Amino acid sequence: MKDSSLLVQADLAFTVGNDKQGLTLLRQYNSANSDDAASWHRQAVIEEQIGDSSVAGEAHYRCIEIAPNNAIGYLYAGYWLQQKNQQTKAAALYSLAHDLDSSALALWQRSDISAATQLRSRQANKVMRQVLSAHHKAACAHLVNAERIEEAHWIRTTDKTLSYGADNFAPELFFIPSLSIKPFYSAKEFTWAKQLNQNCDKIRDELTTAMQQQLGQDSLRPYLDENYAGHAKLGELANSNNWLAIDLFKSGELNSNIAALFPQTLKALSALPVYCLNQDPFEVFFSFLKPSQSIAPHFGQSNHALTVHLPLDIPPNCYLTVGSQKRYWQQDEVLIFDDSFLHSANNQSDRMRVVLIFSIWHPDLSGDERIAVQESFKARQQWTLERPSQLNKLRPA
Amino acid sequence: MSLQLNPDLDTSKITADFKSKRRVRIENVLEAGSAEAIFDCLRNYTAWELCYSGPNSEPMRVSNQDFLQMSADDLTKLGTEVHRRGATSYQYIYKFFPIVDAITAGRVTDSSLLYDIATFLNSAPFMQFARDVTADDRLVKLDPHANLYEPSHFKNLHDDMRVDKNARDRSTRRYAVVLGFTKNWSVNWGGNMSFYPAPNPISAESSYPGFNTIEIFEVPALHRVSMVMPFAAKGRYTIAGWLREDSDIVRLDLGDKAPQAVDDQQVDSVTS
Repeated sequence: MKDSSLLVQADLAFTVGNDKQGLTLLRQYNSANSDDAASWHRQAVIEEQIGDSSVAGEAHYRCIEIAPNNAIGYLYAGYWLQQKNQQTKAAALYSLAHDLDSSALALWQRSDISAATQLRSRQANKVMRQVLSAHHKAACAHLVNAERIEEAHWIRTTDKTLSYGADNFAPELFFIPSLSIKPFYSAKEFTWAKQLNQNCDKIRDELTTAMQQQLGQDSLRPYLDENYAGHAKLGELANSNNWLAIDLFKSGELNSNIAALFPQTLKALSALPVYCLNQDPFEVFFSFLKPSQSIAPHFGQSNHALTVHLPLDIPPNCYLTVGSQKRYWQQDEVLIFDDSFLHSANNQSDRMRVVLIFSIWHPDLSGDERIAVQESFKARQQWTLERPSQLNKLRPA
Repeated sequence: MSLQLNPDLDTSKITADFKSKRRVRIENVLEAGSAEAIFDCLRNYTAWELCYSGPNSEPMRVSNQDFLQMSADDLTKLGTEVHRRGATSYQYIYKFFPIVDAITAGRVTDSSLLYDIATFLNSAPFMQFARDVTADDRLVKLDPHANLYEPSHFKNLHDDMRVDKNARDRSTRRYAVVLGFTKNWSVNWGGNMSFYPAPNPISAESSYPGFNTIEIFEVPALHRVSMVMPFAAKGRYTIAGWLREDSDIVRLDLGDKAPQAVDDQQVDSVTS
């Protein structure tokens, strides 16, 4: 019997209600046509209902193996694991589905989606939130003085309904409820601010020299890359030269290509409580906003860090709006704000606006709490990296 | 509440770890919600008694009611006495809740999570897990109690076999089990459990209090709980007990076989 006729025979058997025979034929078809992801998916679902559960797992695995970029395969495989009480593994596959298609965990809200997929999408949403919320708590539980961090939320995967207690305040990634909230902080609240202001000339001189003489063109990049193209508020600036950056630190790594050009800047930074997830500052960059440009109102990532602007070259009519408060950058006067508030930047001049930007730890956080934040981020990163390994759990022992 | 083991435990690895040392510590042993519920119960809904050792190391108890009426001076005096005796003898002092006794006496009913804890630790899934880890199919039950070590509490070196004081039957302790429900503990606060190869060792292996952990070790095993420092900011919570062999119990739910009817035949022949 030809392979295609096997499938026809299987269809016929299912149509007349002879499901067992249909499944047998489908198994035969898949054995002979190992690259048909849709058919493996079909077999997996039917195995779950009337066949062999372990074979279902293998069929899910084969489906993902053949179509690794199809979120639906992960969604269904995750649900199979969930039915086996393997919540953590299920959450890993649900998370991979979400990576491939950010709507995967919201499909349950759509009436044009099948009930079976709606069910899996709803469960995926629920289980991923439960597992990752528990994962965060477990990461904090063994850390001293980490109670307030344990109560924090990873916004996109929290299993709680959040209320922020302030208007125009909504961090997009991580939220610690017990921290004080206000849009701007006075530089007088920070002992290091005065010294930093005094270092402005040295930092500006280093930047000027570097740009005039030594800095390669590739050191200047659009601050937002193409991944922001779909961002609701910042999409227009994705890959745009209207907002450029020179990185000193990016994602916790020193830009060794240009570090030697900024010894005084790095020295000044080393005296500050700069936010870091490892031993180095997480992000420090010179920010260039072109004339007549603006950065649309948007929310930052988290309230555990405050954003610091050191204004190095400020034309007239350049200002920052945080929440409902508007402040004009003043050259050589540090500006500190919580970017969890809706904030925007404007350069209404005919010159480039240049600011050194970095983050500091929220001043309410103790040393132990900073460590706890770091540990939670590391644990999340590790969990994310280990997700693909959970695919192997689909295979029979 | 239905308490559960963490379904993601790698039992084969745990079994291998146990085999090499006859002791294992496992992190995240319970499903997260189960661990949180037990922690909440121990912290907020447990009527702790005081448990300490007398002049001859004999167990002494102060009921929750009497304990609540003790003055600070009385407690200090009692603690000082135990500390003094601890210099030269087996001594201990900590808070305690006898879950099994309380259930037997009707003080804890099936509406309490403490009841659920005892049920869970004797359930087929947990007992099978214990059998798998220890590779010991003799295990049939576990008699849990709750412990709370607060500042200045401690337990001197012992091997868990000195007096099987909780034996209510012909059962035998085979392995000790300590489930940890202590969050956010500082290593500066003491309270660690240390294991010793002999009574006068030059080194020990220690583990600090943790949350949602389990320590399983074969007894007898020399170990102690170091004093929780006076400045510790919180208590050290555990559920502990012994996995027991008991010839009077057959776990049919674990696939054990009922005894053969040989004895009946013998009885018949005697009486006929």
